[in-house]
Amino acid sequence: MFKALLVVQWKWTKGAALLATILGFAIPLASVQSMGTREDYLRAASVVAAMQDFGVAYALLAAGVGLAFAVFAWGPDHNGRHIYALSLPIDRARYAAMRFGSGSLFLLLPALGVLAGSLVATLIADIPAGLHAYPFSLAVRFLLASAVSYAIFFAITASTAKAAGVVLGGIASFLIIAFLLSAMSVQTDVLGPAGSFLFGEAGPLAVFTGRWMLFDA
Amino acid sequence: MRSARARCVAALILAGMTLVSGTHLAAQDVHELERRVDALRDQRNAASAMLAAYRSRPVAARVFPDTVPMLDGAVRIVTDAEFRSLARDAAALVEPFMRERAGASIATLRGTVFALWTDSARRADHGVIVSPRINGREVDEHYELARATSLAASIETDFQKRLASSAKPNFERWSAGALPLGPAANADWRAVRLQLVSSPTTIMRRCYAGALDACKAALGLTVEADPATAWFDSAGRRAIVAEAVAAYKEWRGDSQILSACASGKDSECIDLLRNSLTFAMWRNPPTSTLARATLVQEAIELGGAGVLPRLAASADAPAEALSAMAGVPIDSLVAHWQRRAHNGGIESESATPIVALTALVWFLLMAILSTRSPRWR
Repeated sequence: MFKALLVVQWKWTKGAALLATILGFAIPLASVQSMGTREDYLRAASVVAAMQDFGVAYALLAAGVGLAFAVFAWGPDHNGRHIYALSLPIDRARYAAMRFGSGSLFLLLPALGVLAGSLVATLIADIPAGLHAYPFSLAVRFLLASAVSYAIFFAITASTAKAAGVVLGGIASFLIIAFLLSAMSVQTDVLGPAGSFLFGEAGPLAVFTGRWMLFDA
Repeated sequence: MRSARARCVAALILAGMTLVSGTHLAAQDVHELERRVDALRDQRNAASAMLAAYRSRPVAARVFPDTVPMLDGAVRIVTDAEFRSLARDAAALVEPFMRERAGASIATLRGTVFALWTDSARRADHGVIVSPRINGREVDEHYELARATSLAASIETDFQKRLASSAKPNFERWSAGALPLGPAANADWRAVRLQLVSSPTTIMRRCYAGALDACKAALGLTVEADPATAWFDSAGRRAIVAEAVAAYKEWRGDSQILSACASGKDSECIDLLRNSLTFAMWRNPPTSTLARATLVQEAIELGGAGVLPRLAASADAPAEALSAMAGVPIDSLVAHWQRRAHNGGIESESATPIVALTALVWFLLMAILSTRSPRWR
């Protein structure tokens, strides 16, 4: 049954997966192109700066891949009012787990795209003395970030409309309360702790922060 | 004709009025600014006087009901019940550290007392105040987080300064910071490596390549009479002059010398680097405080136990002090440092174990959450 779900889900996801793989392959090459051709003493520093600039592109692509794959995993089911799923002789938890597993497998494609692009970029780039290439680490980080993004969006899309509404409404309410407190000059920082939780070392979005470096010292 | 003359006269009068009013306005601006400066100076003096009066007021000595001894009673932390356990935890961290670094010279700390307390402002920030206590009064307040590691670091820094570095002004000036408490992190070595390969000086790049004399010069362990020619090649000289010109839009230096330097006349570049105030920083050794700190950390690591008494007994010159700390000749220490700067910390920050573990935990958590809903819509 998992194989059948895998095949069906691939039909829904393949367009996004191929596009993400191409983009994942292209970003490292574009970062190498942006390194410039300066040959003075600042070459190493400018290469590091170029890699830092492109870190945002990897993080955005990973987040986008997670969102797209999660939406494509459930979209046709939602549109068909879950008739196909209800016709299957398995419970909902198992069905959701198989959907989750199928989508997770597809995440490997964009990550392989990043890895291939990084390896090619490493081969063609003139890396200054003192810098080293980290193509595998970068690809692993991309895979982890896209997996976290996928899992979060999958959990939201897999939930009932009411639960999704509660989550999104909760986030909106929190932002409105933070804005009102700020407008009323209340000296209570609510966004700071929330940001620390989300992006802190143990937070769910920690993998999106930090350095995404193909070449580093 | 008459009207033309009248127009000329009117124009002259208008120009004169504009000039006079402009000068007057400028004078007004200057007077206003002077008035403001005077007012601010008065405010500053009044605030300074109030602060001095506050500091010199007779204050009743604080009473601390609890005492936490450490280092066989040579040192005590006085505090109250609120911070007793914090003081004990910090003392437990300080003990092995100081025994390792100070050895028998701990005895010279006998009688040292630290007071540990807080006030309402610090308490709101989860902070404490730690300060040495002399003649029943707290002096030199340090604000730390109310954590054992922060408190221990503050006490250890104080001890290291007392036992060794305070009597070494040249070494302190050279290192531009307190003696490190731990070894250099991988990120530090990466930063140092990037500095070595991104410097306009030839000595930094030669140091990265393995030339020890260049490393010693770059670290400020040898004296160079003419850095402009000894530390730079002509390309490096021209590059930093060009960079300075680009950075300062309103260049106040000699534009002829600058353009001559930029067009390749190296003698003018040398002249600028030797004499111009703008380039004074390039007459100092080019390594950063971080790079020097890593050298001190290497010396401490190589030297092992008893590093503080060795530093205290050494000469004040940085090279001699470092050699004494490390227990090896300075060339060996610098060679060791160069190898670490070249090869140390080569690992990606992109996918560390902690990043991977955190991501996997959240991935699994969300996966479980996805299967928990009992309803389809």
